[in-house]
Amino acid sequence: MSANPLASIIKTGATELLMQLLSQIPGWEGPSRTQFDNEVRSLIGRLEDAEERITVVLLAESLLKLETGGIA
Amino acid sequence: MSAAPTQFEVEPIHLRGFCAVLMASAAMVEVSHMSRAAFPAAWIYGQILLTPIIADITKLAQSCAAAAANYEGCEASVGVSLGASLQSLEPVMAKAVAGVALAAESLVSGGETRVFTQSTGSHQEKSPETIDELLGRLQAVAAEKQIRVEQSGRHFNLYLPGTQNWSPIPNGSAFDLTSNLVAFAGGGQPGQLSAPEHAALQVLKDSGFGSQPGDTATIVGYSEGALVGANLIAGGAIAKLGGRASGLISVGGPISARGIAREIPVISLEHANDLVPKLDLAEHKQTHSWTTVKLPKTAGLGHSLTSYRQSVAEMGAAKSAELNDKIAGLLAPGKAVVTDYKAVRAG
Repeated sequence: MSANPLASIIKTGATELLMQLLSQIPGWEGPSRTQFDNEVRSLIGRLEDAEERITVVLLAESLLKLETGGIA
Repeated sequence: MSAAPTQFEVEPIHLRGFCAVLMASAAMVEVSHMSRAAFPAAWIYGQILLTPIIADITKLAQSCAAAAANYEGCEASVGVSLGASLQSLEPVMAKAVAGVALAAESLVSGGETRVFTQSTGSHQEKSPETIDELLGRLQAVAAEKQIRVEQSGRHFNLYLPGTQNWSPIPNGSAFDLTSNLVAFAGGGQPGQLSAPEHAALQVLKDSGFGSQPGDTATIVGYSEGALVGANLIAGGAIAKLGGRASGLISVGGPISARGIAREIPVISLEHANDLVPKLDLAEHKQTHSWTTVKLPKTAGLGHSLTSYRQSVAEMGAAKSAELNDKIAGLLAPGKAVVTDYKAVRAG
């Protein structure tokens, strides 16, 4: 669950776009392909990790806002 | 004897496609982070985490573009016109990426819908005279999620905000992901207008623009708002209302590939690290009528309107005066009647 689902939706959009790069490269083989794949996969992993961490902070901040706003 | 065609591990045209997709991904990450602006801790933490990732995605995109250029350089010895023809493909490629995304998004959302505009109030105010005042108004409009028309005599300033809803499901504001993709894939041509383009035309018409000979309009837009403004001018929709487009002031807008007539002045503010203006993959123009103001890289994400205002404040007196001179030619001095509108999707 995310306090801000919009960011998650778009995060999925961005990583989906990157994933498509891996599956839609016609006839490209060899070391340069492997290197490109590795770089894209690494970026996807870093993005997902970053988004998870940000979501945790965002959740904590949302809860704090709710408490200080007097909603319990 | 003719030379055999050069064989590559990957074709330059594909490399250009990868470049477009990588740029789109990076921009998507950045603009989606904007939706966290109301959460300061998450916002700052996100800037720290996402900025280097966006930089690395951009670096990979640049490598793809450079590799394509190298391949084309090799091919140039075989066929002279190939490089030039591929270069002209870049904006088309960017539109194609938007088109594919739009098709996928339309499956989820059903695509573009009708839009309604409603005035939310009117007041009198001094017309803006400087870039800082203009950006201040644009910020206010973006915060209130409104479209604003400012009328001074028979001159109209139209303020258009950036994207306000990044959900693939259209809901509420006309400035959303759906309209973004429609505006990007289209070009303001009749029958291809996005919801905010319809809304902008409606509010101009309601304000009386075009009802008297000599009416002029300057569009001030941020991000998607700038793209919408560029489309309305390039596609001739403003002229069809009966008035004349007197200029476009774009802040972080992907407008370089829009076919705006040479006689219409354009001022485009772009941070070095703002990916959104680079999304159309077109050359950033610098002509007698088109001024691209290249602002230095910001410490955090480059697309924020607040950071644009800060960069303009720090640009130095001489540059600032030069920019204000250019802007003065696009505005009308004196008191203005300011009217705000909501642009909401039907249903």
